[in-house]
Amino acid sequence: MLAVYKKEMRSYFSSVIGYAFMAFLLLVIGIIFSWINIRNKSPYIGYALSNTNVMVPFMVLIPVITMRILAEESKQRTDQLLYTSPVTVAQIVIAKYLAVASLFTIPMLVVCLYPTVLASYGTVPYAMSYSAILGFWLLGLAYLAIGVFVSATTENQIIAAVVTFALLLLSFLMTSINQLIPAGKETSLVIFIVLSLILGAVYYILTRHLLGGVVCGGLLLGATIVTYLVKSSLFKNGIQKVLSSFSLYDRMEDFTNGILDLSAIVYYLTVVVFFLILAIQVIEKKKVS
Amino acid sequence: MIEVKHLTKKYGDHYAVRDLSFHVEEGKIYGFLGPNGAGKSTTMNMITGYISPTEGQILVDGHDVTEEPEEAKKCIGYLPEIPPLYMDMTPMEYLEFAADLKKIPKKEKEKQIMDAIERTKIKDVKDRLIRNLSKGYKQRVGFAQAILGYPKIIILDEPTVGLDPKQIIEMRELIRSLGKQHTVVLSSHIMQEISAVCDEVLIIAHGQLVALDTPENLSKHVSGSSSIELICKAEDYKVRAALNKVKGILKVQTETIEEDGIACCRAEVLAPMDEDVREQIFYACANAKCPIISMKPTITTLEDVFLKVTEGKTTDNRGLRDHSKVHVDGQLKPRERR
Repeated sequence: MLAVYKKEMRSYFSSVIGYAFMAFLLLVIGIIFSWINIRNKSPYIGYALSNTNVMVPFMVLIPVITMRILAEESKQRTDQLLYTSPVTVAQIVIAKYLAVASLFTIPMLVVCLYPTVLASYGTVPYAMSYSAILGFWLLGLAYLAIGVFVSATTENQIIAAVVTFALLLLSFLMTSINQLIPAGKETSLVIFIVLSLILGAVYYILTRHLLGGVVCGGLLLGATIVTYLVKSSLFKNGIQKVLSSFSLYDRMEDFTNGILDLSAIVYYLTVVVFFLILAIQVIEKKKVS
Repeated sequence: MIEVKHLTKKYGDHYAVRDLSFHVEEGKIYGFLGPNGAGKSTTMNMITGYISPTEGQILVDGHDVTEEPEEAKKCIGYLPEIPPLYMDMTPMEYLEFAADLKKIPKKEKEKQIMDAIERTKIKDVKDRLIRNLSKGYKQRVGFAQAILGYPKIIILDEPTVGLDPKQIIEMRELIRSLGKQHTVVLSSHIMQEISAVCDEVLIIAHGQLVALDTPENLSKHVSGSSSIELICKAEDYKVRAALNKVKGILKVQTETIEEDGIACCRAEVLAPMDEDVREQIFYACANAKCPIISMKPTITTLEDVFLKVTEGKTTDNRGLRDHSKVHVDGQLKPRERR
């Protein structure tokens, strides 16, 4: 496991990619930091970090660094060395994730110095600043896990990058999408019914198992209707509630405001674990098919 | 060493490997022979644990590949068809990484890497980027990776593809030297290579085992008789009449050919393996006044064997599957008893 970690770190630092990633991230954060915190004299670094002008380049940088992480191994057939060596797939994926997470942590440590820079201009709310940096770091870790997962699904780095960016952007825009959907119970009900049917169809397409698809779709449909009949109040804003749970960016707000919310920390770590497990499963599945 | 039982691999409705069973003994060199797409690489990928079988079981040194993958993989050094090389590393860095992956203890690491480098003769290029190496060197770096850590079993998928003739000879010598300490399984569709290097040959066609034996036995078994090619300066009915009088000849085939403007007869004679009928043929033809211009025995090569046991498989799968069963039954069982 350590072998894979070391190899990944070396490949980041022996080529330009690792340096470029760190430099570009620091550049973007630095520009917005000097604009909001230094020029406009705000003591809260969280405002800079959660700024859209940081978020959008950040969401571009994540796929750039994660797109090759597993896709290139299968493209170059070097995965044959990895998966035939006495190391498990889980160890390989985790080692690779830890390497890219370490790479991302280095510029974040540099950002940790920024509040002390501000201190020379006046008083700085240190606790709030560092909770904002922590929130940004956790958000980044979750984004990286999504990138690793997408990279596991394809051999093509470009597809991996585009899909990762699309997922991150979709998650980022979730709040705006929510506001477009009417809040009524009926809307939620209709959307949930359609979703149940779609999931059933997806199950059938993936497994070619007609009965399984019908059962899967039917169960979801039944559960939706029963829940609606028993407690229809749940459906008020129901779809919004579900969708907002996909918004990773929203969870960062509390951190920016200086609230260390345990549930948000658990949420981010869950996202990381969930997508890494998915990535491992995708690779194991490839072996079987 | 390797025990493969009823191995099947299905891609959708297509069988890449179908009900394949064989046994690999320790300290021998095995050759996988088969046309392209016969399932050689698929089988090797399954033995090494890169892909999982749809059905069946593989035991490597007593460890089930799907149940105890780590134990099984520790015994194997694998060189896939395309060497799994990182282009941005030097051979030295690459072998260090491979040694770490194989969990070779730190103390022995240096020594074993140097040994692998020496055996594959890549010392000159060990600090160059793999990206800039020639195909032959790349292959050898992959080979060094496979033999690193002295694994009990070394599996090589088409190890000599892309090498020049000199390198091929060196590679074969290397494989032969490995066979003294390791069990080696290699695949190829080049017959000479297999007959030059291997102790045992496994012929695979359409995912099924067609034959398993030593190269010499295979040549004998398949023909069951020796054949002689004969050219006489006479009409072919005369030659045929003369030859039919010879005792011990199983079958005669004749045709008229033209040699230096004179009509000649080319005859193919099949005789039992243990009988030399050439002398009798000479006298028979002499008596019949059919001068023999040339006479030579045709040797059954591994190529003929290969073509014979795999031929027609594409057109009539079912019919030949039965045929293959006969072969497997006829040749496998005595081996298993041994």
